[in-house]
Amino acid sequence: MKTTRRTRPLRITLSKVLSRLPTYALLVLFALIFIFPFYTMFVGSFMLDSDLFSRSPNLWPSGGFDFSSYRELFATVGYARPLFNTFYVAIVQTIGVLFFSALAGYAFAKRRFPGREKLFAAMLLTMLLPAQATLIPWYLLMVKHLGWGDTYWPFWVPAWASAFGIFWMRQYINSAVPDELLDSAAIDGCTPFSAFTRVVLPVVSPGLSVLGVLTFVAASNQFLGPLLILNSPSKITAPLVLANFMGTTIIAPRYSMMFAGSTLATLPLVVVFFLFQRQLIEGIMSGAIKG
Amino acid sequence: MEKPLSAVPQTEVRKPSLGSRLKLIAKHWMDYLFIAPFFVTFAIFGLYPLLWAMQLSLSRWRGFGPMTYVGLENYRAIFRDPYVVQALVNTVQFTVILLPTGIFISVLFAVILNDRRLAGRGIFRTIYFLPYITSSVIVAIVFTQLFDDTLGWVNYGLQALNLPTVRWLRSSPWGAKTVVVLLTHWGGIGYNVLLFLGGLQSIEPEVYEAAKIDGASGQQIFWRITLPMLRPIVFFLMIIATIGLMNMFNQPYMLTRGGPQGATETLMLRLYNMGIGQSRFGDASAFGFLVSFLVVGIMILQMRFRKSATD
Repeated sequence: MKTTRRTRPLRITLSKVLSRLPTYALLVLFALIFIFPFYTMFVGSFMLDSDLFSRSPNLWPSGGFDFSSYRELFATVGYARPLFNTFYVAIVQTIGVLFFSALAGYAFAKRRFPGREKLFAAMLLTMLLPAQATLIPWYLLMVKHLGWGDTYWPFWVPAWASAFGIFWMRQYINSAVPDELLDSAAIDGCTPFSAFTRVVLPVVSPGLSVLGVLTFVAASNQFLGPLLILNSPSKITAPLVLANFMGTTIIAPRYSMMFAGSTLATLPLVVVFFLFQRQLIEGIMSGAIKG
Repeated sequence: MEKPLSAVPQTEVRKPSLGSRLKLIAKHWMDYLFIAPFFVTFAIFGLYPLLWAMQLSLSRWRGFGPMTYVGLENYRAIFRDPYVVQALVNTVQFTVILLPTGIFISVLFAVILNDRRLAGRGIFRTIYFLPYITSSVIVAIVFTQLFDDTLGWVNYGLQALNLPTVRWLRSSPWGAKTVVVLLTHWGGIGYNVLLFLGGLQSIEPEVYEAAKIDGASGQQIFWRITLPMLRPIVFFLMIIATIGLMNMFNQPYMLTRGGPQGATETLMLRLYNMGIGQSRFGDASAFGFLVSFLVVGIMILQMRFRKSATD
């Protein structure tokens, strides 16, 4: 934040580098703090419990990288199933959110119909409904009335009503789809729906991918919902299995297993994140807030 | 709604008749179909549970048998519950600590990373954001190990510096609170930095140029230009954080189950234990309503505050 430069701006001088040193030290220190938990998780998943429970914590597995936690995870716990379930639930949920958000967002952005503004405002108001008030009846409705206990429907069907998703897609479609494009599609004989699938969907993929990644991450990591709904071993998701590993105050936690399970559950999300990193970061920076 | 006489001819202000309105709506049936999934789903999974919660909160019911109307008895029971008071105090403590420190750290890093001449700003941005995509369950697992009494890195580091170690999660109330605060910051700072970066980049460079020509110092520019421009984001974050903190569940559930001695019991954890754990559906619904009123009340206060601050 030095404003006293009056020399040529591009010349790199020693004093300039030195003046930046505290800034970089701060940035690197924080980067280390942010990475370190990931590091202990990843390296710890290849450690034996003897390494993890030794007198001083280890930065590196003393006997080389050991895969026995992963083997035990799959062979004894059957972790493959919950891992698959987690991403199966998340993918279907994400597709639902994307489709219904884009469709309603398109209607709110580009279609003209009576009551549009009022309905849109009403939709935004629903975002203020606090989850606390409906937690108990939501659970009772799903499990007792609809008989959806131990199924994935409670995570999929309500996803059709994502007020945030619709708001996001309306903003994006407004900025990315010119009216002339839709006018000419209508002249070519497109119905409103075929204009949606042929004209709108192909050009809004950046907006969809940001919403998709955010939804997918949140859906993969959801905990309270699955904790209430799912209970059979063939249906539960990875976070529930990992939470069970925490044990109780009597049983010692199995850190090596938890780290291996956590690494496997995090890896797909990291991959997705890096694939869409640019769009995601720019999306959050640009469009998340409107006044 | 009688309108006063106006110069506009009657035929122009007359509302369309019901028949022609219905025709207009029928003509747009496809548009309504596009937005119908939201409203139908919300009615079933949002509105209906809300009305049911209202009924439950006025009844005694344990999931079976007849439901008896008890008036406001459940609400009175909530106010008598000492755990509820503690959960409320804890949640307020978390909010008061997390919100200002979170905003301060995020603005600081956003300002640093906004400097275009800084090498590697993209890498730092990504690293700070990475915890956001990690499940809070997994974050809690890793932090439990880092803050373990005897095996963790944190106490190891304290020992190496000849400082007394802390029994973070098992027996120290303020230690457990500290871990919850640090964990929440670790997971959320990166997202907030991005929001502030977006805000900083929306400030036109000309504004800064003009200020510099007028002889403003770096500090003056920060306090007089940068910070006021970020006010909408601070406001947005305060609302989001209020909702998030009032919903705080995963972190204390995983780390401590609300202990030690209830030091990390949050409102949502109490709600879960009351409703799901003990099947006290009536009490829990009343409690949920009270928390909701609190959330909405705080949001109204924040909006008032924002209005008076911008006027």
